[in-house]
Amino acid sequence: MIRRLHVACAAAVFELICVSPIRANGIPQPGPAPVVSLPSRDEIQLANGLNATLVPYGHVPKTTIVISIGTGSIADGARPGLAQLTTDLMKQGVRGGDAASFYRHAAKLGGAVNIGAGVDSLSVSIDVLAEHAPEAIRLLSDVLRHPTLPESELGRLKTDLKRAIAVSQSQQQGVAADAFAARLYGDGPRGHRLQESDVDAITYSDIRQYAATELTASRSRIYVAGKYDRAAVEHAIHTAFDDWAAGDLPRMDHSLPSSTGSVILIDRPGAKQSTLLIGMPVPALTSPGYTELSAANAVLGGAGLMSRLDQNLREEKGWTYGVSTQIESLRDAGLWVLFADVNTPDTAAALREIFNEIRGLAASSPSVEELKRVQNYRAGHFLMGASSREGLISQVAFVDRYALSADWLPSYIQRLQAVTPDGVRTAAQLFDPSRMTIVVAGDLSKIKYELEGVDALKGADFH
Amino acid sequence: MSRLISVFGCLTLVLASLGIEAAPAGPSATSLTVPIEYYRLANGLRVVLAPDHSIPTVTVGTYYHIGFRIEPKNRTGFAHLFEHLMFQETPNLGKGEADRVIAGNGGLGNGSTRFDYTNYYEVVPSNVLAPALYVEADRMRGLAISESSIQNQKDVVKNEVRVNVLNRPYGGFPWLDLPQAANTNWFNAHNFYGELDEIDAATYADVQTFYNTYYVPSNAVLVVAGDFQTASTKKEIEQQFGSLAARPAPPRPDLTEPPQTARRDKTITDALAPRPALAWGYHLPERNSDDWYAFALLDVILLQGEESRLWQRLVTERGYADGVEGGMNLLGNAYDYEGPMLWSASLVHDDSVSDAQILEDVESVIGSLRNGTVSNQELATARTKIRSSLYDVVGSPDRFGLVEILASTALFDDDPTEINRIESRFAKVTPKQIQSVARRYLTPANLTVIHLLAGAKGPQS
Repeated sequence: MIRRLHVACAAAVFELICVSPIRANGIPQPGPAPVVSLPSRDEIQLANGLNATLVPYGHVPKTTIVISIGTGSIADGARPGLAQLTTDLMKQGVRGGDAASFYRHAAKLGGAVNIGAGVDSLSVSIDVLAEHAPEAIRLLSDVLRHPTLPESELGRLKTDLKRAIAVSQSQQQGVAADAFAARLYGDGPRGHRLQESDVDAITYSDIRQYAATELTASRSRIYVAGKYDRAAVEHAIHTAFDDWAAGDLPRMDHSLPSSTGSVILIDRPGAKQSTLLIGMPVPALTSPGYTELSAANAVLGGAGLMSRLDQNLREEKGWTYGVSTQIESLRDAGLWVLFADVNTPDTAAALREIFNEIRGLAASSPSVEELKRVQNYRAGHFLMGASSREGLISQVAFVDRYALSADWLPSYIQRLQAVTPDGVRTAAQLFDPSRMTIVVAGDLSKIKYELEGVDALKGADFH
Repeated sequence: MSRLISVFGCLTLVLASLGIEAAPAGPSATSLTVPIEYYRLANGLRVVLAPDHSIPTVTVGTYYHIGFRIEPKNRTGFAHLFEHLMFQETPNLGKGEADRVIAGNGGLGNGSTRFDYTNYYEVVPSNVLAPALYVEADRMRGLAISESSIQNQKDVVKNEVRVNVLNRPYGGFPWLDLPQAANTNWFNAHNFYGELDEIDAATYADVQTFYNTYYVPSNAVLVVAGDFQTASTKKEIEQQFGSLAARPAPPRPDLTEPPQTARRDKTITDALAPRPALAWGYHLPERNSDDWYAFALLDVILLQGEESRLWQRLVTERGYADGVEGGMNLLGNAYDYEGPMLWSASLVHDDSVSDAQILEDVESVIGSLRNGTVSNQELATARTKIRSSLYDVVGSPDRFGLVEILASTALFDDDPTEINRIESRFAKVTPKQIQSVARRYLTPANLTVIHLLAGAKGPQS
């Protein structure tokens, strides 16, 4: 039984509202803004619960296929690293064949198979010449349904994973990110820092079990974007997946980041820079006021060099190559995060300026001009994101993942442009330094004394 | 507000406007033709126009024929520092204003310094083309950088070097290390990112001299690709750039690299690295030569992707590393350089395997190409991959890859239409030629090896 929806997108029209250039002396004015429509999409649902979204798009004969499955490290259980190692082994061949012939097969289609496991989203993807799209769908289905899972390769893949862990833990940003996640999320799938001993504990039968039970039709969604023969693609989806077991519904991670403020100092003797990671929970995507919050984030650190933090810490002070902020989406909340690597002697001063900028935005509204520039910047990024196969898929998958309304994408720019300067100021009041988790990784012998004098860190345990 | 139509429904028209034509027969279903107009303004500025109305954005790139090879000898890192300064004050635009014109109107822009050019580029909604051209013409007309902005950008650049190299394990490996070890001509063999004290030493006079010498219209190309009307854009370009004074093109130093006669080895200790690493490189045939096209296919066969021969041997069979990476030109791609270049590869491995063991496998894989010919099937797969990636270059919404090829071939060969011959030149390469370039260039005497020793004392926390 096939249910097909043709989602009409005639209303999906975006307009960029242009800022008047700051000075009129000689700078040509932008012309009238172009209007862009989102491409329409077809939806197919198989009887076993598998959904497919097809987006005809673009002008070159290429097709991108992504299959997203609602599982991941959330199903690791007592075996951290299991999802990761399972996906690594799934790449070592299909239908009893070896890795080499699998890789050659993908290459003949003009692409390579990627597999990755997040917390509750495991994805398999390939980007191929359009004429090979049906064959690529069959190949991805083999990866999910008929992986060879050669036990002989497991030792090598474990060694590789342990090496990758060691390299990640040698990077200052990696160490800081691990400590940050552990403090925000505790020892769950989002907070656990993978250890070499975790990798050792995983057995081949753990992997077989994971691959056999976690990857099922009703957890899966196929996205196809590009130029392709629609009938052939639809036929390939049916042939490859109609008889896939329905299985359980998607697993969903409902982790919430801690809102208890804390400071973590990590000593990196001899470090030339300090890594700063600051974060706190904010309301979820669908909460009222989220658009204002995202605009406030953009004014602070989410609009490239125009952002206040980059203007101050980089373009005025020269303390860093860059500082940026973003809001990461979770199902029931958002996580606001700031990243920066700052010159060691300027660490305390940089933290002071960061909190000054946060407080400054909460205290007074940005000018209409500043806000419009940032709104245009975000709108432009959104449109360019919607102008590639991968970008379209990621936008549509985002809407699916967070169960957003049908008009979420089409109305994105209108919502963004409706934000007012006062709305930004009010939203910025949510950025409360006392509720932030602050990680500083650097040469403590050079920075600790000064850090103790930073107001926002007062009361933190420095020992 | 005028409406620019959505193009998603009219595939035929889009194809026609892009010039992708169905080929009558043959292994590839389509062939790529980018419509190109190429001319010079009276002051010597080269202009490349490549209209494509598939997406209502337009990409503007100004490429100056000055990369980090050619920088003052006691001023390593200067070409890159200078790139940063091009975003500072001009007589017409204050600090940060150019970025506000571009990004504040929904565009995104940046610059980069490479071996043989420095580029400044932006992709903007198509209604913002004229302001984008203004920004590019403005900084070609003159700078008004303050001493404080120079100091500020020195600090920013030093922090860039710290975050990317000095405070990062494997930071300069092998992209900075390998050219320094493999080359002997200073222009090819110095630290391109720059020593911090030499970045600090840059003066206002250095900045003026560098700008006056290299940032002249006759040493640059302007590329406009995307959704624009040719006639009105040509007029706009003439209006904005035509009035810039003609200046002589700078002299070019001798960049040739004397032939290497014996293998070179260099050992470096990385205090932050937890595992050893190995890189190897060979000098490449001259860009755009027939040998070069054969080598580019050889690169795909040897190194690009999990089915490539080196990956197969070193990763899948031997398990030395979780990947082996590299290619022609680690700081860009095979198309966007001019001078002497290396083909190189690298991997991070465990202590349990020696460099000699890995190199023996590398030599054995390479030897198989010197001693035998690749099958037509393997060659066909390599061509398919190149075709697939070329479509992405042309089809990418930011068009940066396309602009890069057009600009490079205009600057280096005075012929941006080369892009329309790339596929056919790859099609002509034979298995015999692949063997011949393997024999000529992948020789022990042409090899440079970097041995990176792990200096980290174990996991830190």
